[in-house]
Amino acid sequence: MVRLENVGLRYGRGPEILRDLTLKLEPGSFHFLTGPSGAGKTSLLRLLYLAHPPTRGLISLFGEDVTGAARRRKVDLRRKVGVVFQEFRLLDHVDVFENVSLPLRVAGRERWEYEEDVRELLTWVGLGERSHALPPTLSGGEKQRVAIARAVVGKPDILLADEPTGNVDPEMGRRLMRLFTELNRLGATVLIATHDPDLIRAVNAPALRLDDGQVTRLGKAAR
Amino acid sequence: MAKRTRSAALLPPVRRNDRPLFFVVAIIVALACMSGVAARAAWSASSAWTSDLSGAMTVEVRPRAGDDPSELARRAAEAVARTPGVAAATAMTRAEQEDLLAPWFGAEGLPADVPLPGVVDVRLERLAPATADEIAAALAAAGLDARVDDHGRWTRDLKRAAVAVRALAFGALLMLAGAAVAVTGFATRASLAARADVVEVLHLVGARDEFIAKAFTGRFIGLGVRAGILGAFLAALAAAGFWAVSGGLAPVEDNFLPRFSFAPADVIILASAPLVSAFVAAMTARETVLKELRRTY
Repeated sequence: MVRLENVGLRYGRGPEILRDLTLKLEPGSFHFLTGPSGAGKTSLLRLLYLAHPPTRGLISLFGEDVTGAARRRKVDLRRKVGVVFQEFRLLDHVDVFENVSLPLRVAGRERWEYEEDVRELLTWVGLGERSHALPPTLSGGEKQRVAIARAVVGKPDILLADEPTGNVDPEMGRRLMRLFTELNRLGATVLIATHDPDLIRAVNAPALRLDDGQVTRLGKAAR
Repeated sequence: MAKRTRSAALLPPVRRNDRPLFFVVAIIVALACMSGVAARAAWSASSAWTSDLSGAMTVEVRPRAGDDPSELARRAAEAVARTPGVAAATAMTRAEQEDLLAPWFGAEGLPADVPLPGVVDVRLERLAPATADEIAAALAAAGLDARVDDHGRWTRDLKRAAVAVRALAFGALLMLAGAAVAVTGFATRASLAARADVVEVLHLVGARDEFIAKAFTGRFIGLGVRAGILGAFLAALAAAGFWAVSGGLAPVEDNFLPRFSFAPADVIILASAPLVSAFVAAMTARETVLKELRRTY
């Protein structure tokens, strides 16, 4: 499903953020990604959602080498990947409903096809009554829930999340994690970058530790 | 919970930033319309002139001592009228010739002792006109010493002038189109930069380049139509002002210079301006966005 071989990444002429990184995530697996700040967790996720090409090495998604993939093909692959960005990246000028339904809309789906599903999802993440609110009027936790709903609304095959529960209370955090585990149960490969040890303990899933540009696979017991 | 059936615009409105572009495009469209209307008017006038000149010839009969020019002209007219391809041949009287010379010699006319040649005004058949050589041969056969003027020197000059005017107008239109493309491209890049965060999100959630370009194209079509309407309106005002100043309401007289007048083609030029403007703006915006997206992502 996800395979990286000897991947290196540097931005411009800067130092190498990721070095000779080799990693394989099986289809339907659930992993946490941990490591100190600046270890390259966000950069690794950026590689996986095809926001940036690697400086060297090979990245394969769904058994397909994406490093040399055509532009249109990359869009097809990107549509199979849901992403929760650390800084949310919501569109401030459109409401919660429009933000959440964005991946469906850009994929060419008609509003009548997805409206009920989106409203149900908004209710699930506790934003049923806030669907017409604009992001600047939302709290940090509400924005995070909108970002998560947007990431999962298209039922992606791969879900990548960067600190997805950092701004919500523990109860909402557990509720959102159930959303991820449910998606995983339905077959999605999930990778969640987090600093939160409680979150890792709450889910019975292995962790990958990224340190100094390289990844170490930790067993469940090593968490 | 209230349901909406239409999706919101994906690009935030920034009308204040678009306003200068709107006025620049409107001015460009107005200039383009004016040069189009001017070219049309010049072309129509030159066509009318050349049509008048090329459908007619003038025969000048040189009198010998003792000959009556009017009698020579009458004989020449009869000879020419029998020539195939001639619709009519009319001998001009001395009074008619003096009328033609009035702008140079005044209404008093010429002194009676100034000789004038015999002149015949020849109108040709439209479909199979006679040539100057055929008419000259007919005059020679009638024993007349005459010179036939087919107005070739004038028509050649007029045609050359008309081609020059048309080339000038076409060049002006090309330059204005280039200016419109350049200014729209610049504005699109500025617009793209101002909405870079939105474009990146669209890109990352799986939008194709064409989808993003369409969001911009839609906005620029609206701008092109609005600016085109204003530009066409300004051009129509300018043309109407020129028409009024140049005596458009006065009775038509036989002036050497043509009078400016509105024609159906002008309406077509002005009416198509918003469409052309929208098309140019949309295509430029689309190509600019696609190019920038390929460069950035």
